[in-house]
Amino acid sequence: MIELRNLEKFYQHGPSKSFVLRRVNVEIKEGEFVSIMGPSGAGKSTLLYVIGMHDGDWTGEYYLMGQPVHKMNRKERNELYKQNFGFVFQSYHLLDNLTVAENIEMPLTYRNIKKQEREAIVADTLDRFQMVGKKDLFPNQLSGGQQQLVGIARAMVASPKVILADEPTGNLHTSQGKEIMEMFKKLNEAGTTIIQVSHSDLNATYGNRVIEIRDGWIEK
Amino acid sequence: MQEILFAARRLLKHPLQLAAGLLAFFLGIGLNTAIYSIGDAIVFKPLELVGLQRLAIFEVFSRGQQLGIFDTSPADFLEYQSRLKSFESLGLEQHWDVTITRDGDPEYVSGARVTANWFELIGSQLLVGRGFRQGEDQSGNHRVAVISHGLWSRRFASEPGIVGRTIRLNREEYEIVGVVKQTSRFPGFMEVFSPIPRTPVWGQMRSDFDYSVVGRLKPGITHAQAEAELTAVQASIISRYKATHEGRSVQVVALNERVAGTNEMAGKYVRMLLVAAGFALLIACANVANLQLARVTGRTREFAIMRAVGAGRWPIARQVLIESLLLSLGGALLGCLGSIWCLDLIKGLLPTELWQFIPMWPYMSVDFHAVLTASLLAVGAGVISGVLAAWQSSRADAQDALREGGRAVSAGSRRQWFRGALVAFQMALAIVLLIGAGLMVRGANASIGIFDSKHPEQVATMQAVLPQLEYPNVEKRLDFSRRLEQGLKNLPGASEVALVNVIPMSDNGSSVSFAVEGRTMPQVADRPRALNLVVTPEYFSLMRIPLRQGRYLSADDRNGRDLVCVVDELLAKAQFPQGNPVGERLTLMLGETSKPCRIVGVVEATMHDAWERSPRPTLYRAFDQNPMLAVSLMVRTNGPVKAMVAAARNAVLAVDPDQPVRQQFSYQELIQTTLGGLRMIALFMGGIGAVAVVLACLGVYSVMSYVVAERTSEIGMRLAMGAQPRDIFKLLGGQALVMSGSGMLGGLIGGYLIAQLFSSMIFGVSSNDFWSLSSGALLLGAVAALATYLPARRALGMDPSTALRHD
Repeated sequence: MIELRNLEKFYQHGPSKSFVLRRVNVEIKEGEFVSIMGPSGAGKSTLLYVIGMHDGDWTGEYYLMGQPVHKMNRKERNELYKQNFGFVFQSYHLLDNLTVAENIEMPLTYRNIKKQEREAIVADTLDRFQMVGKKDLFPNQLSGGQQQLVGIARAMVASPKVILADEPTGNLHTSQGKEIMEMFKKLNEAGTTIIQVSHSDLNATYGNRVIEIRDGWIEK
Repeated sequence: MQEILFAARRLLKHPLQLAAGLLAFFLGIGLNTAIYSIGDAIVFKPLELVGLQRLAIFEVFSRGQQLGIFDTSPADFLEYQSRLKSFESLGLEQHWDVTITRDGDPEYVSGARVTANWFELIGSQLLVGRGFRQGEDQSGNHRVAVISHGLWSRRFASEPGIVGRTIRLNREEYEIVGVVKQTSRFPGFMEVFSPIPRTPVWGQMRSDFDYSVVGRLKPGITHAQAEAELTAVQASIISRYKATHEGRSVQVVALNERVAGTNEMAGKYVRMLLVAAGFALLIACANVANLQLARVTGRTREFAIMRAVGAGRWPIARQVLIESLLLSLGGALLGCLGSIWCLDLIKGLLPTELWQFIPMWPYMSVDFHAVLTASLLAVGAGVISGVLAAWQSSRADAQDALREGGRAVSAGSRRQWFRGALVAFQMALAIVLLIGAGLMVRGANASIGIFDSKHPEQVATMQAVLPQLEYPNVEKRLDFSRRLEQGLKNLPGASEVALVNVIPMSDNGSSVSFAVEGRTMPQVADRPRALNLVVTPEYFSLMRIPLRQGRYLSADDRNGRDLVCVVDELLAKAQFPQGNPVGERLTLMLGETSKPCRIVGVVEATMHDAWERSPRPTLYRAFDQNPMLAVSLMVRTNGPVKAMVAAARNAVLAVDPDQPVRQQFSYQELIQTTLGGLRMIALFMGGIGAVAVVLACLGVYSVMSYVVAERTSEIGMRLAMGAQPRDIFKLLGGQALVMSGSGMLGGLIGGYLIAQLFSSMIFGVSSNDFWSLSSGALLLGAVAALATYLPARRALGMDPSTALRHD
């Protein structure tokens, strides 16, 4: 599903280059639950953002379901992203002036879906994530775990094939983190490919494969 | 000290922000104080007179219609003097046209005949010699003069032994007894003062309404109290002299309101400028407040770190206070320099011809009270908003702020609302100023261009005032005017020649009251009045005034024949609404006498004064039948007008080598000079409008930049959720639209009201002009759009990954 060949990312500092990712060759199959692990500054999040097409400044080849992303312009990548990805952030990134339902609805507003249809999808999603009773609350009225749940619901609302999660439990205590990981597990079992960045060995056990990265090099 | 250095370093780290703040101070304070200093020179401290606040001038009305300050008779004055208890003393003044001969070229200057107590009354400072003594304002004793410092230095090279010398005024010898300080004269443009030559008859003149009364109020007496007493005395006079005084009322006006002009327009315009400059200062304050707010709210994390390492709220607030003070004081200093620079610029802009009416103009300096007030306002706005925001930020949960990226990605809605309100406020004020400035410029252009169709650039003009002593009778004056007219006609290149008592648009004019023969003679106050123009026959063709009925004045309308006149269509319509006025007879009231006059023609109505909104009824009398001491000449030429001005001057000298002339201009220059004040006001308003727009643009740009920077994480998140750049533009554009749109709407409403007000004040301005000028609001709208677009584009240029990590 996702194939990276010889992918590199670096920053130019005068005549020298500072590499963040080096000769990355990775293949991720549909339905996998992959954990990217490594120490701080290893390049985990950068790799995730490259896969999620939020970072366009790299060299090498990237194929998504056989389509050469490296040959696409920004607009084409954006379209491809919208069709296939959902993103979950460590710090949730909810809009605090929107309600839970409105936060969840937001990605749909960027996908030319009519209002009525959007409302139906949001209602389904709220039901699925058991948040119907909280739909009119604002983020600051929720616990961290609940906020992240909204973040996942928001990532799932457009039915993506892949969920990218950047340390999704990093700001949560253990029991909330477990709840979130259970949710990812369920989504994966339902067919969604999950790629998460994590420091936690425990979280990695929810997945079926670990990619270890150190100083920009893939180690396993 | 170390804190000050840190603060300075932090300010210098953001040079653009710093420059924007300093610019706001420079423009806001500089312009405001410069305009305030002008206000001082024109209205608030227009003269250096002892106890100016207690001086008052009498303004006369007839049936509620303003007649002006020169409308009191000698007999009325004497009665006021003996009966009014509210005043310490009262004095009388009459304009006196003076020709100085000997000790140099013949020179025409403005002079005043005054009562002997004049200089004592108004609190003048005499540089040399004395004022007038009791009894010198009696005929026979009156040949003494006080001259201005300007005349003393110009004509007598500031000769120390000037007192006791004689000066030849209107070909009579006067002894100079004193020199008055230039800024201590009233009227402020007079060069020579001499006592009124009173006679027993003079004191009986009840209807010779040609004098101006000035009084010094007793301490503690208000203008209103004095006016109440005056009204009672006036009622008593009216009861005894119904025929001449019925309907007349007198108001007591502060003298400083009438220093720069005989009507209230100068004061009105100055106050309008002050309000406009005040608006500009408010915009600057809002800018500075916004800037400080933005600076502080962008440092929430820094304050959280300070709190985390143990800093209390006060150290945080103190740090912001020091920064705010540094920025504000630097700005205030620049503002002071700006005001000096602005004032110098403005001083150089006013034409010399107008200086004489503003005695303090050459001595105008920056009013440091105004500098202080403006600086305190701006500094206060900056410091208060900065410190309050810091205080609020320091209360925030440190842990929350320190977490990576924070939990939420949008800014506090209350702060956004407040900043948005400040932007809206700036936009509204800037649009009001823009529309106001546009209307003023339009009015000035309309006034200046009022006679464009008459091609004033091809007409040479100048004015002479014949001395009574040399031209005591009709024959002498006729001889002068006939010879002059002939001399001018003989000039090569002169196509049309006219003599007239006052040239339209020269800020002069006199009116005459009249009655229609065969109808009941109305009381004085009810008699119709008309502008009194005395002209030679070619005046109508020279001024391109079309004939409506009858005929123009002709060369046959000579002295000794049946007195005739031409009226304009306004007078014809008002007095003869049904019939043909040609052949009808009017009785003209000229001072204490009356003259009959037969109407021979009706002509189109034309404007006479730019400050009037429309023409006024006008009566044209034949110059040959009414030879005047005031002779203005107009010569149309197809050749170079400058050469014609010089040739016409020589033609005057050929008739009388001792006769000075003044205002030797093309007619176009004369109009421009007369309207110099209005042009200056328009220029000032334009300047204020431009500054307001610059400040408002700066405000919108800095706020939108900050808003976008603050929402960068949100933008990244939205992009990560699949938003397209256009979605982000829509989002930010919407926010900008709410901010600027509400400001624009407020501004347009304010602008509409200003247009209504101006249309009733200024010639050539209609309330409909609002619609064309309102498009100026689009300019600000476009800037607001650009101010949103540029930072938004910058944010969109970032990868979402960068935007999401942005803090």
